[in-house]
Amino acid sequence: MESTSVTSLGAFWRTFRQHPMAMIGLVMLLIAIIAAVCAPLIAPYDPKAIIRITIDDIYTRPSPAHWLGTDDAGRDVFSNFIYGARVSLTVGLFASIISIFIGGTIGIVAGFYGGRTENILMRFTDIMLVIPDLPLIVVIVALTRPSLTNIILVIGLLGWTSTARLVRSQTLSVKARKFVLRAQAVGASRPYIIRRHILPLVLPLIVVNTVLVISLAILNESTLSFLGLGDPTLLSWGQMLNYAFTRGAMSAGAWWALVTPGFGIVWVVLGCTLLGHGLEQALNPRAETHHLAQLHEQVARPASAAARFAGEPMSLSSD
Amino acid sequence: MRASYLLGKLAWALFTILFVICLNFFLFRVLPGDPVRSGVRDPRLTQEAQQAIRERFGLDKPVINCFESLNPVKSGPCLINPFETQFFLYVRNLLTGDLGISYHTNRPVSTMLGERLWNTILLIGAGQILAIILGMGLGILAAWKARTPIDFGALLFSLLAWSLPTFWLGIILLFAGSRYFNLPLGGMITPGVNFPGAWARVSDMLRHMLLPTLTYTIVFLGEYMLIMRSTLVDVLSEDYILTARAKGLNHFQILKDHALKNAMLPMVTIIALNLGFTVAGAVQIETVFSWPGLGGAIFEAVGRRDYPMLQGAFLLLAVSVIFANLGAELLYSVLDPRIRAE
Amino acid sequence: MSDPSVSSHTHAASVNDRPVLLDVRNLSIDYVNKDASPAQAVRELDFTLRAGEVLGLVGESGCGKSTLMLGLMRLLPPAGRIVDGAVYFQGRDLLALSEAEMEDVRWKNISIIFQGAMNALNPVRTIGDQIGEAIRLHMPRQDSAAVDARIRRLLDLVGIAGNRKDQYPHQYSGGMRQRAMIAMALACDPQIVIADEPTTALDVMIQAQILELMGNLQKELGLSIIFVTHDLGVVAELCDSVLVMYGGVTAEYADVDTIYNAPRHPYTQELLRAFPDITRPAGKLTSIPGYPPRLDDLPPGCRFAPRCPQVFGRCRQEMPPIYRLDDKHVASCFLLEGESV
Ligand SMILES: Nc1ncnc2c1ncn2[C@@H]1O[C@H](COP(=O)(O)OP(=O)(O)OP(=O)(O)O)[C@@H](O)[C@H]1O
Ligand SMILES: [Mg+2]
Repeated sequence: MESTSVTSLGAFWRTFRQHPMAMIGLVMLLIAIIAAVCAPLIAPYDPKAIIRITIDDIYTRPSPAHWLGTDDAGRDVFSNFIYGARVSLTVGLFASIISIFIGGTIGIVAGFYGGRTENILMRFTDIMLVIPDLPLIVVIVALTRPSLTNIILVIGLLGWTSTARLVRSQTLSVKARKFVLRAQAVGASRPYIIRRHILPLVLPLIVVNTVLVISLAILNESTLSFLGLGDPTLLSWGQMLNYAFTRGAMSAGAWWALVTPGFGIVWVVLGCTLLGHGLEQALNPRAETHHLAQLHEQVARPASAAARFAGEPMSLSSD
Repeated sequence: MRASYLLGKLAWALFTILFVICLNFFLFRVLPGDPVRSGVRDPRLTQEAQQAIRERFGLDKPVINCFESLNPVKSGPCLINPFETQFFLYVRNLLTGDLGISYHTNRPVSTMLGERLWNTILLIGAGQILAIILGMGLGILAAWKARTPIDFGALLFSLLAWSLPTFWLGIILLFAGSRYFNLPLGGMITPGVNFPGAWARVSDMLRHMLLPTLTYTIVFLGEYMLIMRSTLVDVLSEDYILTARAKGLNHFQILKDHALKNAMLPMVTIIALNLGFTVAGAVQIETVFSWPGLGGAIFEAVGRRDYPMLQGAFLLLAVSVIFANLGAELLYSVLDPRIRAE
Repeated sequence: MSDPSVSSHTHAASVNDRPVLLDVRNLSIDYVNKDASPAQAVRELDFTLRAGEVLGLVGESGCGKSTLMLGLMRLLPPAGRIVDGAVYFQGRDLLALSEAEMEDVRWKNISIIFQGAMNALNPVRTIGDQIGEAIRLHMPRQDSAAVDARIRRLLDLVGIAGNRKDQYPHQYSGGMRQRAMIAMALACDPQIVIADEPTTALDVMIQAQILELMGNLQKELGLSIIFVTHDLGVVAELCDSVLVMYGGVTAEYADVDTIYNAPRHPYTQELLRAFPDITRPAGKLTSIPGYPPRLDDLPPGCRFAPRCPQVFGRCRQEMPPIYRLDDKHVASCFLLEGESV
C-alpha cells in the first residue's frame, strides 16, 4: 500500500502542475515564506530597535528613507510589513496543524468506526459548526492572556469542524472500496487498516483542506489583532492596522499605513486560496460543461452541404 | 414524516442552545480571568451594586455540584442542593431575560442588547440580501457561460473577494468614501442634528449604511457566486435539463423553471452554514464603521472589560445563528418535495 | 442463420407507400475536444422515416446511436458538432433553422424518450406540471382546464391514474416514470417519437410492459418511431425497418424481414449469431470477440475489419462504399461489390 500512496501523490503532483492558478498561488506563498525567513536581510530597519522621534517623524509619506512611509510611532512601515509576515505565517502554520489533526482524527474515526461513535462525534461537530467562530475566539482570548501561544491554541482548537466533515465523508467512501472490505474480511486490525488503506487515500483531501484552514487561521489572527486582542509584544499585520486605525492614520491621510498591512494579508490569503482552488481542481477534475454550455456552433457544415441536397429533398432512398 | 422531521430539527436546535448556554456559563466562570468574580470588585460599580450582583449570581454559592473543585475560591461539601448553585441561578436569570448589569453603563445588558439587535439585523439583512442576489446572479452567468472569459473573470473576482479581510476592506472603503465622496466616518446617524422630516432622517441613515453594506456585500458575494456556479453547473448537467431542452424550452425558461429551484437547495444549506461567518463579518464591519450593533458591542465590551455585556452579546449572537439555521432547515424542507411530501 | 420464427410484418408492405417524414442525408457528427483530434462519432449517414413507420437503430454500445438521435434534434452536448449533411423534416432542412425555430420543432414535431430516463424528470416539479409545461409551450391556445384534462388523458393512455399527476417523480416507480416520460413525449401530438433505449434501466417484466405499451400506442396513434436498442428481439417485434450501425457508419439498412432473413453485412450476421433466440430478451451484445474501434483512432479501412471473420486485404486499406442491393436494402461491405444495382 505504501507504493499506492506514493504513486497517487506523484500523479497528483503531475496534475497539479498543469493548473496555472495553483502554481501562482504556490509562488505567492513561497515569496511570503522567504520574506518571513529572511526578514532581517530584507527589512531596512529593525522594528524592535529603540528610536527617538519627533512629531515630524509620525506618518511621514513614502520617501527614499522610508519606502512605505512611517507609522504612528515613527517606525518604518516597510520593515514592519516584512516582519509582520512572520506572525501571520506562524499562526497559520501551527493553528492549522492543530485543526487538521483534530478534524482529521475525528473525521476518520467517525467515518471508519461508524455507529454510536460516529453519531456522537458528528453531532458534536454540528454543534461546533453552528456556534459562530470569531465571537467565540474573541471571548476566549479576551478572557485569557492574548499571547501568541494562546491565540494559536484557540484558533487551532476551534477551526477543525469543516475538516472533520470533509474527512468523514471521504473516509466513508474509501471504506466501501473493495480492498478495504477485503482487508477487514481477512481480519486486519482497525488501526492497521486506517494507517495502511484509509489514510493514504484521505491524505490528498486533507492537503487541500489544510490550505483553506491556513488561510482561515490567518484571517482570524489578523482580525483578532485588529480588534486589539493580538499579542502585544509582536507586530503582526492585524496589529499594524489596529494601531493605524485607532491612532489617527485615517485623519492623517496616511494611506500607506492602512494599505500596506492589508496587502500582506491579502497576498498570503489569496495565495492560499489560489493554491487551494487549483489543488481541488487537480484532485477532482470535473467536466466543466453542461447541457446549456456552448463552446461552438453546433451546426458547422460546409456551405455546400446545404446546397448539395437542396434540389431533391423528400426523395426516397430508393431510386 | 414531515412533522417528526421538523420536531427533530427543533429539538436539535434547542439542544444546541442549551449547549451554548453551558459553554457561555463555564467560559466566564472557569477561565483564568474569572471575570465575574473580579468584575464584582470592579471599581466602576458601587458597593450596593456589587452586593446586588453577588446575590443575583449567587457568587457565594458553588458553581455547580461536584464541579466545586473547578472553582478554587471556596471549597464546600460536594453534594449540596442543586438549586443553590450558580449554574441554576444563571439559567433561571436567563429564562427571565436577565443577562446582568453592564459594568460600563450600569444598565441591564438585555436592554442594551435589545437596542442593538435590530441595528445588526438591518445591516446584516441588507448586506446578505444584496450579496445573495448579486452572487447568485453572477454565479448563474458564470455557470451558463461556463469555460468562457466571463466565467474565468467571475472566478478570479470571487477568489479575490473571498481573500479580502472584512475589516481591511471596510477601512479602505471608509478611507476612500470619507475623503473623496464625503461620506460619514461612521455611526448610524449624524449626531446632534434636528432632521426636518422623516425622509431627511432616512436619507442620512442610508448615507451611513452605504459603505458598511457595500463591504458586507463584496465580502460575501464571492463565496455565493462560487457556490452558485458550481451547483448550477452540476444541475445543468442533469438529464432533466436535456429533457427540458428537448421539450423546446429556451435557455431562459430552462434556467428559470428547471435549474434554479434545484440549485436553490444546496444554496440554502450553504447560506445556513455561512451564518457563523456572517456574524464574524458583523463584528468587524460594526467595529470599523462604529455601527451600534451586536458585533460592535462585542468589540466595545472587550475594550472596556465589560464582561456581562460580552457574555450577553455572545449568547445572543450564537442563539440568533442557531435560529437562523433552523429557519434554513425549514425553508429547505419547503423547497424539497422529497422531504415535503413524505 | 436466418430464423424461421421471424414473421413478416403485416403492415410492412404498406409503409413504403406513405409519405416521407424525415429524410436524413449524409449526416456526419464529430466530437471536438481540446487537445485531441476530433472523434468521428457519426459519418455519412442516410436514412428515411415515413409516416407510421417504426425504424430500429441497432449497434453495439458506443457506435453513435444516441449521438445520431441527438444530432437530429440539434441537442448534442457542447463538444458535439454536425460537420456535414442535412436533416429534412417534411421538406424543411432542420439544420438550416435558427435556434428559436428549432425550439418550435422540438417536442411539437419530434419528441424523444431518453436512455436510462430515471433522471429525465425534474425531481422538484410534479409529473403533471412537467407534462403540462410542454402542452402550454406548444399548444398555447388551451386554457388551464383543457391542459389539465389533456394531462389526465395522456396519463390514462399510458396506464397511470389521473389523480397521480400531482405527485413528484420520487413517488413513482421506475416503470411508472418511464410511462410518464412516454405520456410526456406524446403530449403535443408529435409526428415522430425517438425512443433511445427506453427500457435499459428497467427490470425484465417492466421492460416487456413498456414495449407492449409502445407497440399499442404506435398502432393506435399512427406514430413514426425511431427505436434505438441493443435488443434484436424488440426490433423484430416492433420495427418495420432496421438500420445497423457500426463505429458511426451504416453497416446495413433494410426492412426488418431482410435484416433477419437475408442479412448481407458480416456485422449484421455476427449480431444475429450472437443473439440467436429472438424470443429471449438479452442485455448487451457482447459476444462478438473484440471491441468496437475508438472513434478518435479509427482503422484506415473498413471500421469493422479488425473483428470481421470474412476480412480480406482490401478491407484494411479502403473504406467500403455503400452498395445498394435492391429497392430498400443497402450495405457497406466489399463482399457485395458485384451485387450493387
Ligand atoms: N463529449 C464527447 N467527447 C468525445 N467523444 C464522445 C463524447 N460523447 C460521446 N463520445 C463518444 O461518441 C461515441 C458514440 O457515443 P453514443 O452515446 O452516441 O453511443 P451509443 O451508440 O448511444 O452507445 P450506448 O448504446 O452505450 O448508448 C462513443 O464512442 C463515445 O465515447
Ligand atoms: Mg446511447
